[in-house]
Amino acid sequence: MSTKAKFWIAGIVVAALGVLLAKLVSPRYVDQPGWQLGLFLGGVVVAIGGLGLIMAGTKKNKK
Amino acid sequence: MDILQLFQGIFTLFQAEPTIAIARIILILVGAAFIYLGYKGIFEPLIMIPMGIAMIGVNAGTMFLSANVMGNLFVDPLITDNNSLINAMQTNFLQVIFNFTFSNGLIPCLIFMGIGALTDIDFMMARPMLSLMLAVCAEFGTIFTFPIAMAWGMTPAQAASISIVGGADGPMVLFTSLKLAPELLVPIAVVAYMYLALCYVGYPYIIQWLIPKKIQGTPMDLASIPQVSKTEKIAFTIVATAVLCLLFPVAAPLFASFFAGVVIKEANVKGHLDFLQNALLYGSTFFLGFVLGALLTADTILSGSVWKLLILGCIALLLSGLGGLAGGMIAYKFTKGKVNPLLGIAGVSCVPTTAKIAQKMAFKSNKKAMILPFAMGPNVAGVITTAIAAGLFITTLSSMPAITKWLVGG
Repeated sequence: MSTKAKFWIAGIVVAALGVLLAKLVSPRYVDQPGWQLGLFLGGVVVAIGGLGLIMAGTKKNKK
Repeated sequence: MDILQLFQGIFTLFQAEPTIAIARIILILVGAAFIYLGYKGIFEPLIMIPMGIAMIGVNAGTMFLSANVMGNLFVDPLITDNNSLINAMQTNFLQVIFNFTFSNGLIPCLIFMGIGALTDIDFMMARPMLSLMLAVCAEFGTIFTFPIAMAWGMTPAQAASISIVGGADGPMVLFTSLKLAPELLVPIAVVAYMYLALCYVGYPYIIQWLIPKKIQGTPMDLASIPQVSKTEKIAFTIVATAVLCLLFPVAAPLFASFFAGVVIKEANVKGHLDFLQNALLYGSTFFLGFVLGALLTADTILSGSVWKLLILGCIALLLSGLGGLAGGMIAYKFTKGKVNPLLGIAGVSCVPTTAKIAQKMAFKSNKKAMILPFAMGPNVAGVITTAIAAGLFITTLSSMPAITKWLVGG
Protein backbone atom coordinates (compact mmCIF):
# COMPACT_ATOMS: atom_id res chain seq x y z
CA MET A 1 0.00 0.00 0.00
CA SER A 2 1.37 3.43 -0.92
CA THR A 3 2.12 6.07 1.70
CA LYS A 4 -0.53 8.29 0.17
CA ALA A 5 -3.22 5.59 0.56
CA LYS A 6 -2.14 5.04 4.18
CA PHE A 7 -2.55 8.76 4.89
CA TRP A 8 -5.99 8.77 3.28
CA ILE A 9 -7.20 5.75 5.25
CA ALA A 10 -5.72 7.04 8.52
CA GLY A 11 -7.26 10.47 7.90
CA ILE A 12 -10.73 9.07 7.24
CA VAL A 13 -10.53 6.82 10.31
CA VAL A 14 -9.36 9.68 12.57
CA ALA A 15 -12.04 12.02 11.17
CA ALA A 16 -14.70 9.35 11.77
CA LEU A 17 -13.46 8.89 15.35
CA GLY A 18 -13.72 12.65 15.87
CA VAL A 19 -17.27 12.69 14.56
CA LEU A 20 -18.17 9.78 16.86
CA LEU A 21 -16.63 11.53 19.85
CA ALA A 22 -18.49 14.77 19.14
CA LYS A 23 -21.84 13.31 18.13
CA LEU A 24 -22.14 10.10 20.13
CA VAL A 25 -19.97 10.38 23.25
CA SER A 26 -20.42 14.07 24.05
CA PRO A 27 -24.27 13.99 24.25
CA ARG A 28 -24.02 11.31 26.99
CA TYR A 29 -22.65 13.98 29.31
CA VAL A 30 -25.65 16.27 29.05
CA ASP A 31 -25.74 16.64 32.84
CA GLN A 32 -22.11 17.77 32.94
CA PRO A 33 -21.88 20.69 30.50
CA GLY A 34 -18.14 21.13 31.04
CA TRP A 35 -17.46 17.57 29.94
CA GLN A 36 -20.03 17.78 27.16
CA LEU A 37 -18.40 20.90 25.72
CA GLY A 38 -14.90 19.49 26.21
CA LEU A 39 -15.73 16.24 24.45
CA PHE A 40 -17.52 18.03 21.64
CA LEU A 41 -14.57 20.38 21.08
CA GLY A 42 -12.18 17.42 21.39
CA GLY A 43 -14.16 15.54 18.75
CA VAL A 44 -14.06 18.54 16.42
CA VAL A 45 -10.28 18.89 16.85
CA VAL A 46 -9.74 15.17 16.18
CA ALA A 47 -11.98 15.29 13.09
CA ILE A 48 -10.15 18.33 11.72
CA GLY A 49 -6.88 16.53 12.48
CA GLY A 50 -8.16 13.68 10.29
CA LEU A 51 -8.80 16.12 7.45
CA GLY A 52 -5.30 17.50 8.04
CA LEU A 53 -3.85 13.98 7.67
CA ILE A 54 -5.67 13.56 4.37
CA MET A 55 -4.31 16.88 3.14
CA ALA A 56 -0.81 15.96 4.28
CA GLY A 57 -1.08 12.77 2.23
CA THR A 58 -2.04 14.49 -1.01
CA LYS A 59 1.35 16.04 -1.77
CA LYS A 60 3.16 14.59 -4.74
CA ASN A 61 5.94 15.36 -7.19
CA LYS A 62 7.77 18.14 -5.43
CA LYS A 63 9.02 20.41 -8.17
CA MET B 1 -51.38 72.87 3.03
CA ASP B 2 -47.75 73.40 3.94
CA ILE B 3 -45.61 73.33 0.80
CA LEU B 4 -43.12 71.14 2.66
CA GLN B 5 -45.76 68.40 2.87
CA LEU B 6 -45.33 67.92 -0.85
CA PHE B 7 -41.72 66.94 -0.18
CA GLN B 8 -42.16 64.36 2.53
CA GLY B 9 -38.49 63.45 2.72
CA ILE B 10 -37.76 66.99 3.93
CA PHE B 11 -41.04 67.39 5.83
CA THR B 12 -40.36 64.30 7.95
CA LEU B 13 -36.99 65.77 8.96
CA PHE B 14 -38.87 68.58 10.72
CA GLN B 15 -41.53 66.31 12.16
CA ALA B 16 -39.17 63.72 13.66
CA GLU B 17 -37.17 64.08 16.86
CA PRO B 18 -34.02 66.18 16.28
CA THR B 19 -31.69 63.25 16.99
CA ILE B 20 -33.44 61.14 14.34
CA ALA B 21 -33.34 64.00 11.83
CA ILE B 22 -29.64 64.63 12.46
CA ALA B 23 -28.88 60.89 12.24
CA ARG B 24 -30.70 60.73 8.89
CA ILE B 25 -28.65 63.60 7.48
CA ILE B 26 -25.43 62.03 8.79
CA LEU B 27 -26.35 58.68 7.24
CA ILE B 28 -27.01 60.35 3.89
CA LEU B 29 -23.53 61.90 4.06
CA VAL B 30 -21.98 58.60 5.17
CA GLY B 31 -23.71 56.89 2.22
CA ALA B 32 -22.18 59.44 -0.13
CA ALA B 33 -18.77 58.86 1.53
CA PHE B 34 -19.12 55.09 1.04
CA ILE B 35 -19.81 55.58 -2.66
CA TYR B 36 -16.82 57.92 -3.03
CA LEU B 37 -14.47 55.61 -1.09
CA GLY B 38 -15.74 52.61 -3.05
CA TYR B 39 -15.24 54.47 -6.33
CA LYS B 40 -11.70 55.38 -5.28
CA GLY B 41 -11.00 51.75 -4.37
CA ILE B 42 -10.28 52.52 -0.70
CA PHE B 43 -13.37 50.52 0.36
CA GLU B 44 -14.65 47.37 -1.35
CA PRO B 45 -16.74 48.84 -4.21
CA LEU B 46 -18.83 45.71 -4.80
CA ILE B 47 -20.50 46.12 -1.41
CA MET B 48 -20.00 49.76 -0.52
CA ILE B 49 -21.37 51.41 -3.65
CA PRO B 50 -24.79 49.68 -3.59
CA MET B 51 -24.84 50.05 0.20
CA GLY B 52 -24.10 53.77 0.01
CA ILE B 53 -26.78 54.50 -2.58
CA ALA B 54 -29.39 52.53 -0.65
CA MET B 55 -28.44 54.41 2.56
CA ILE B 56 -29.01 57.70 0.80
CA GLY B 57 -32.28 56.49 -0.69
CA VAL B 58 -33.77 55.10 2.50
CA ASN B 59 -32.78 58.01 4.72
CA ALA B 60 -33.80 60.69 2.24
CA GLY B 61 -36.94 58.84 1.22
CA THR B 62 -38.62 58.67 4.62
CA MET B 63 -42.31 59.52 4.41
CA PHE B 64 -45.59 59.33 6.31
CA LEU B 65 -47.04 55.85 5.79
CA SER B 66 -50.14 56.82 7.76
CA ALA B 67 -51.15 59.85 9.82
CA ASN B 68 -48.50 59.40 12.52
CA VAL B 69 -46.27 56.62 11.27
CA MET B 70 -43.08 57.43 9.44
CA GLY B 71 -41.33 54.82 7.34
CA ASN B 72 -40.07 54.03 3.86
CA LEU B 73 -40.94 51.92 0.86
CA PHE B 74 -37.70 49.92 0.96
CA VAL B 75 -37.95 47.27 3.68
CA ASP B 76 -39.23 46.76 7.22
CA PRO B 77 -37.05 44.13 8.92
CA LEU B 78 -39.03 44.04 12.14
CA ILE B 79 -42.34 42.66 10.85
CA THR B 80 -43.29 39.39 12.50
CA ASP B 81 -47.05 39.29 11.93
CA ASN B 82 -48.03 37.35 8.78
CA ASN B 83 -50.72 39.76 7.57
CA SER B 84 -48.48 42.77 7.96
CA LEU B 85 -45.74 40.89 6.13
CA ILE B 86 -47.99 40.16 3.16
CA ASN B 87 -48.98 43.83 3.03
CA ALA B 88 -45.35 44.93 3.30
CA MET B 89 -44.35 42.63 0.46
CA GLN B 90 -46.78 44.44 -1.77
CA THR B 91 -45.53 47.90 -0.86
CA ASN B 92 -41.84 47.64 0.13
CA PHE B 93 -39.78 46.84 -2.93
CA LEU B 94 -36.98 45.02 -1.05
CA GLN B 95 -39.24 43.18 1.41
CA VAL B 96 -39.42 40.03 -0.71
CA ILE B 97 -35.65 39.91 -1.10
CA PHE B 98 -35.15 40.50 2.64
CA ASN B 99 -37.60 37.82 3.75
CA PHE B 100 -36.75 35.21 1.13
CA THR B 101 -32.97 35.63 1.03
CA PHE B 102 -31.84 37.32 4.28
CA SER B 103 -34.16 35.97 6.95
CA ASN B 104 -33.60 32.35 5.94
CA GLY B 105 -29.82 32.63 5.46
CA LEU B 106 -29.99 32.04 1.69
CA ILE B 107 -27.86 35.01 0.63
CA PRO B 108 -24.77 34.01 2.67
CA CYS B 109 -25.03 30.55 1.14
CA LEU B 110 -25.30 31.94 -2.41
CA ILE B 111 -22.24 34.10 -1.80
CA PHE B 112 -20.42 31.10 -0.38
CA MET B 113 -21.15 29.11 -3.54
CA GLY B 114 -19.61 31.94 -5.57
CA ILE B 115 -16.59 32.21 -3.25
CA GLY B 116 -16.13 28.43 -3.42
CA ALA B 117 -16.16 28.62 -7.22
CA LEU B 118 -13.37 31.20 -7.11
CA THR B 119 -11.29 29.40 -4.49
CA ASP B 120 -8.14 27.42 -5.22
CA ILE B 121 -7.80 24.88 -2.44
CA ASP B 122 -4.44 23.78 -3.90
CA PHE B 123 -2.42 26.13 -1.74
CA MET B 124 -4.15 25.08 1.46
CA MET B 125 -3.71 21.39 0.62
CA ALA B 126 -0.10 21.93 -0.42
CA ARG B 127 0.85 23.23 3.06
CA PRO B 128 -2.04 22.08 5.27
CA MET B 129 -0.39 22.34 8.69
CA LEU B 130 1.00 25.84 8.12
CA SER B 131 -2.29 27.05 6.60
CA LEU B 132 -4.44 25.62 9.39
CA MET B 133 -2.08 26.85 12.14
CA LEU B 134 -2.12 30.40 10.78
CA ALA B 135 -5.89 30.28 10.27
CA VAL B 136 -6.43 29.16 13.87
CA CYS B 137 -4.15 31.95 15.16
CA ALA B 138 -6.16 34.42 13.09
CA GLU B 139 -9.30 33.33 14.96
CA PHE B 140 -8.00 34.96 18.18
CA GLY B 141 -10.55 37.72 17.76
CA THR B 142 -13.40 35.24 17.42
CA ILE B 143 -12.25 33.29 20.48
CA PHE B 144 -11.42 36.14 22.85
CA THR B 145 -14.17 38.60 21.93
CA PHE B 146 -16.74 36.05 23.08
CA PRO B 147 -15.88 36.27 26.83
CA ILE B 148 -15.37 40.05 26.54
CA ALA B 149 -18.85 40.48 25.04
CA MET B 150 -20.38 38.23 27.69
CA ALA B 151 -18.64 40.16 30.45
CA TRP B 152 -20.16 43.30 28.90
CA GLY B 153 -23.65 41.97 29.51
CA MET B 154 -24.49 40.24 26.24
CA THR B 155 -26.16 36.85 26.12
CA PRO B 156 -23.99 33.95 24.86
CA ALA B 157 -25.90 33.97 21.54
CA GLN B 158 -25.39 37.72 21.04
CA ALA B 159 -21.75 37.49 22.15
CA ALA B 160 -21.12 34.68 19.64
CA SER B 161 -22.76 36.66 16.84
CA ILE B 162 -20.50 39.68 17.32
CA SER B 163 -17.40 37.55 18.04
CA ILE B 164 -17.63 35.91 14.63
CA VAL B 165 -16.77 39.32 13.11
CA GLY B 166 -13.21 38.32 14.13
CA GLY B 167 -13.31 35.74 11.34
CA ALA B 168 -13.69 38.67 8.90
CA ASP B 169 -16.11 36.74 6.76
CA GLY B 170 -19.26 38.72 5.98
CA PRO B 171 -21.57 35.86 4.90
CA MET B 172 -20.57 33.93 8.02
CA VAL B 173 -21.44 36.88 10.25
CA LEU B 174 -24.86 37.13 8.59
CA PHE B 175 -25.49 33.41 8.94
CA THR B 176 -24.46 33.27 12.61
CA SER B 177 -26.51 36.34 13.57
CA LEU B 178 -29.56 34.95 11.78
CA LYS B 179 -29.29 31.67 13.64
CA LEU B 180 -28.34 32.99 17.08
CA ALA B 181 -29.34 36.63 17.48
CA PRO B 182 -31.74 37.71 14.71
CA GLU B 183 -32.64 40.79 16.76
CA LEU B 184 -29.07 42.05 16.19
CA LEU B 185 -28.80 40.98 12.55
CA VAL B 186 -29.00 44.47 11.10
CA PRO B 187 -26.52 46.29 13.38
CA ILE B 188 -24.06 43.37 13.43
CA ALA B 189 -24.16 42.97 9.65
CA VAL B 190 -23.62 46.68 9.12
CA VAL B 191 -20.79 46.84 11.68
CA ALA B 192 -19.17 43.75 10.14
CA TYR B 193 -19.24 45.03 6.56
CA MET B 194 -18.04 48.48 7.58
CA TYR B 195 -15.06 47.00 9.39
CA LEU B 196 -14.34 44.49 6.63
CA ALA B 197 -14.16 47.43 4.26
CA LEU B 198 -11.69 49.06 6.64
CA CYS B 199 -9.43 45.97 6.85
CA TYR B 200 -7.72 46.92 3.62
CA VAL B 201 -6.84 50.29 5.12
CA GLY B 202 -6.13 49.26 8.73
CA TYR B 203 -4.16 46.01 8.57
CA PRO B 204 -1.18 47.45 6.63
CA TYR B 205 -0.62 49.89 9.53
CA ILE B 206 -0.65 47.03 12.05
CA ILE B 207 1.89 45.19 9.90
CA GLN B 208 4.11 48.27 9.67
CA TRP B 209 4.01 48.76 13.44
CA LEU B 210 4.57 45.17 14.49
CA ILE B 211 6.67 43.38 11.88
CA PRO B 212 10.26 44.57 11.36
CA LYS B 213 10.62 46.00 7.86
CA LYS B 214 13.59 43.80 6.96
CA ILE B 215 11.59 40.58 7.37
CA GLN B 216 8.38 41.87 5.76
CA GLY B 217 9.87 41.12 2.36
CA THR B 218 11.10 37.60 3.22
CA PRO B 219 11.07 35.76 -0.13
CA MET B 220 9.50 32.32 -0.49
CA ASP B 221 10.40 29.64 -3.01
CA LEU B 222 7.51 29.16 -5.46
CA ALA B 223 9.06 25.91 -6.68
CA SER B 224 8.55 24.44 -3.20
CA ILE B 225 4.76 24.30 -3.67
CA PRO B 226 3.81 20.64 -4.12
CA GLN B 227 1.28 19.80 -6.84
CA VAL B 228 -2.06 18.26 -5.87
CA SER B 229 -4.07 16.32 -8.46
CA LYS B 230 -7.66 17.28 -9.33
CA THR B 231 -8.95 13.83 -8.35
CA GLU B 232 -7.47 14.20 -4.90
CA LYS B 233 -8.92 17.68 -4.49
CA ILE B 234 -12.39 16.41 -5.44
CA ALA B 235 -12.03 13.41 -3.10
CA PHE B 236 -10.91 15.70 -0.28
CA THR B 237 -13.87 18.02 -0.93
CA ILE B 238 -16.27 15.08 -0.64
CA VAL B 239 -14.73 13.87 2.66
CA ALA B 240 -14.51 17.41 4.13
CA THR B 241 -18.16 18.16 3.25
CA ALA B 242 -19.34 14.91 4.84
CA VAL B 243 -17.23 15.30 8.01
CA LEU B 244 -18.06 18.98 8.58
CA CYS B 245 -21.79 18.51 7.89
CA LEU B 246 -21.87 15.52 10.24
CA LEU B 247 -20.19 17.60 12.95
CA PHE B 248 -22.25 20.75 12.44
CA PRO B 249 -25.65 20.02 10.86
CA VAL B 250 -26.82 23.56 11.71
CA ALA B 251 -24.02 25.05 9.62
CA ALA B 252 -24.36 22.39 6.89
CA PRO B 253 -25.91 24.87 4.39
CA LEU B 254 -22.71 26.97 4.56
CA PHE B 255 -20.31 24.04 4.19
CA ALA B 256 -22.38 22.43 1.42
CA SER B 257 -22.58 25.74 -0.46
CA PHE B 258 -18.87 26.48 -0.18
CA PHE B 259 -17.75 23.01 -1.20
CA ALA B 260 -20.37 22.92 -4.00
CA GLY B 261 -18.53 25.88 -5.51
CA VAL B 262 -15.14 24.22 -4.91
CA VAL B 263 -16.12 20.89 -6.45
CA ILE B 264 -17.72 22.55 -9.49
CA LYS B 265 -14.49 24.47 -10.04
CA GLU B 266 -12.31 21.39 -9.66
CA ALA B 267 -14.60 19.28 -11.86
CA ASN B 268 -14.56 22.18 -14.36
CA VAL B 269 -18.32 22.13 -15.01
CA LYS B 270 -18.11 25.17 -17.28
CA GLY B 271 -21.78 26.20 -17.38
CA HIS B 272 -22.20 26.07 -13.60
CA LEU B 273 -18.81 27.61 -12.99
CA ASP B 274 -19.56 30.62 -15.14
CA PHE B 275 -22.94 31.05 -13.42
CA LEU B 276 -21.52 30.76 -9.86
CA GLN B 277 -18.48 32.99 -10.46
CA ASN B 278 -20.39 35.74 -12.23
CA ALA B 279 -24.18 36.03 -12.17
CA LEU B 280 -24.73 34.38 -8.79
CA LEU B 281 -21.81 35.91 -6.89
CA TYR B 282 -22.15 39.42 -8.27
CA GLY B 283 -25.96 39.37 -8.09
CA SER B 284 -25.92 38.19 -4.47
CA THR B 285 -23.21 40.67 -3.49
CA PHE B 286 -25.12 43.53 -5.10
CA PHE B 287 -28.34 42.71 -3.27
CA LEU B 288 -26.44 42.09 -0.04
CA GLY B 289 -24.95 45.58 -0.19
CA PHE B 290 -28.17 47.20 -1.35
CA VAL B 291 -30.38 45.57 1.28
CA LEU B 292 -27.84 46.26 4.04
CA GLY B 293 -27.82 49.92 3.03
CA ALA B 294 -31.62 49.99 3.06
CA LEU B 295 -31.58 48.52 6.57
CA LEU B 296 -29.27 51.25 7.80
CA THR B 297 -31.84 53.75 9.00
CA ALA B 298 -31.55 56.30 11.78
CA ASP B 299 -33.55 54.05 14.15
CA THR B 300 -30.99 51.25 13.74
CA ILE B 301 -27.98 53.48 14.32
CA LEU B 302 -29.54 55.06 17.40
CA SER B 303 -30.41 51.76 19.07
CA GLY B 304 -28.40 51.33 22.26
CA SER B 305 -26.50 48.24 21.19
CA VAL B 306 -24.79 49.71 18.13
CA TRP B 307 -21.96 51.45 19.98
CA LYS B 308 -21.23 48.29 21.93
CA LEU B 309 -21.17 46.31 18.69
CA LEU B 310 -18.89 48.88 17.04
CA ILE B 311 -16.35 48.52 19.86
CA LEU B 312 -16.60 44.73 20.04
CA GLY B 313 -16.36 44.36 16.25
CA CYS B 314 -13.21 46.49 16.26
CA ILE B 315 -11.70 44.43 19.11
CA ALA B 316 -12.53 41.18 17.26
CA LEU B 317 -10.84 42.21 14.01
CA LEU B 318 -7.87 43.76 15.81
CA LEU B 319 -7.25 40.62 17.90
CA SER B 320 -7.58 38.41 14.82
CA GLY B 321 -5.05 40.51 12.94
CA LEU B 322 -2.65 40.43 15.92
CA GLY B 323 -3.17 36.68 16.38
CA GLY B 324 -2.52 36.03 12.70
CA LEU B 325 0.69 38.06 12.74
CA ALA B 326 1.81 36.33 15.94
CA GLY B 327 1.24 32.99 14.19
CA GLY B 328 3.20 34.31 11.19
CA MET B 329 6.14 35.27 13.43
CA ILE B 330 6.09 31.84 15.10
CA ALA B 331 6.14 30.18 11.65
CA TYR B 332 9.01 32.49 10.60
CA LYS B 333 11.07 31.59 13.67
CA PHE B 334 10.32 27.86 13.48
CA THR B 335 11.27 27.60 9.82
CA LYS B 336 14.35 29.79 10.37
CA GLY B 337 13.14 32.49 8.02
CA LYS B 338 11.71 30.31 5.24
CA VAL B 339 8.12 31.50 5.83
CA ASN B 340 7.19 35.15 5.39
CA PRO B 341 5.52 36.28 8.66
CA LEU B 342 2.97 38.32 6.68
CA LEU B 343 1.25 35.07 5.72
CA GLY B 344 -0.29 35.31 9.19
CA ILE B 345 -2.49 38.25 8.26
CA ALA B 346 -3.86 36.17 5.37
CA GLY B 347 -5.25 33.74 7.95
CA VAL B 348 -7.92 36.36 8.60
CA SER B 349 -10.35 34.96 6.09
CA CYS B 350 -11.42 38.07 4.22
CA VAL B 351 -10.89 36.37 0.83
CA PRO B 352 -8.85 37.54 -1.02
CA THR B 353 -8.34 40.94 0.63
CA THR B 354 -5.98 39.87 3.42
CA ALA B 355 -3.89 37.73 1.06
CA LYS B 356 -3.56 40.77 -1.20
CA ILE B 357 -2.53 42.90 1.80
CA ALA B 358 0.20 40.37 2.65
CA GLN B 359 1.49 40.47 -0.95
CA LYS B 360 1.28 44.26 -1.14
CA MET B 361 3.27 44.78 2.06
CA ALA B 362 5.86 42.13 1.15
CA PHE B 363 6.29 43.69 -2.29
CA LYS B 364 6.72 47.12 -0.70
CA SER B 365 9.86 46.04 1.15
CA ASN B 366 11.18 43.55 -1.41
CA LYS B 367 10.28 43.90 -5.08
CA LYS B 368 11.11 40.23 -5.67
CA ALA B 369 8.88 38.83 -2.90
CA MET B 370 6.02 36.82 -4.43
CA ILE B 371 4.03 35.39 -1.53
CA LEU B 372 0.44 35.58 -2.86
CA PRO B 373 0.14 31.86 -3.74
CA PHE B 374 1.41 30.98 -0.24
CA ALA B 375 -0.94 33.53 1.36
CA MET B 376 -3.95 31.94 -0.36
CA GLY B 377 -3.38 28.79 1.73
CA PRO B 378 -4.11 30.35 5.16
CA ASN B 379 -6.71 32.57 3.48
CA VAL B 380 -8.79 29.59 2.32
CA ALA B 381 -8.09 27.71 5.56
CA GLY B 382 -9.39 30.83 7.34
CA VAL B 383 -12.74 30.50 5.54
CA ILE B 384 -13.00 26.92 6.74
CA THR B 385 -11.91 27.66 10.33
CA THR B 386 -14.35 30.58 10.52
CA ALA B 387 -17.13 28.31 9.28
CA ILE B 388 -16.06 25.78 11.92
CA ALA B 389 -16.11 28.50 14.60
CA ALA B 390 -19.58 29.56 13.44
CA GLY B 391 -20.68 25.93 13.45
CA LEU B 392 -19.29 25.47 16.97
CA PHE B 393 -21.09 28.54 18.27
CA ILE B 394 -24.39 27.70 16.60
CA THR B 395 -24.28 24.03 17.57
CA THR B 396 -23.31 24.56 21.20
CA LEU B 397 -25.55 27.55 21.82
CA SER B 398 -28.66 26.45 19.92
CA SER B 399 -28.65 22.67 20.31
CA MET B 400 -27.02 22.26 23.74
CA PRO B 401 -29.06 24.31 26.21
CA ALA B 402 -27.11 22.94 29.19
CA ILE B 403 -23.95 24.60 27.84
CA THR B 404 -25.68 27.97 27.43
CA LYS B 405 -26.95 27.71 31.00
CA TRP B 406 -23.50 26.75 32.21
CA LEU B 407 -21.90 29.71 30.37
CA VAL B 408 -24.24 32.20 32.01
CA GLY B 409 -23.58 30.57 35.37
CA GLY B 410 -27.08 29.15 35.78
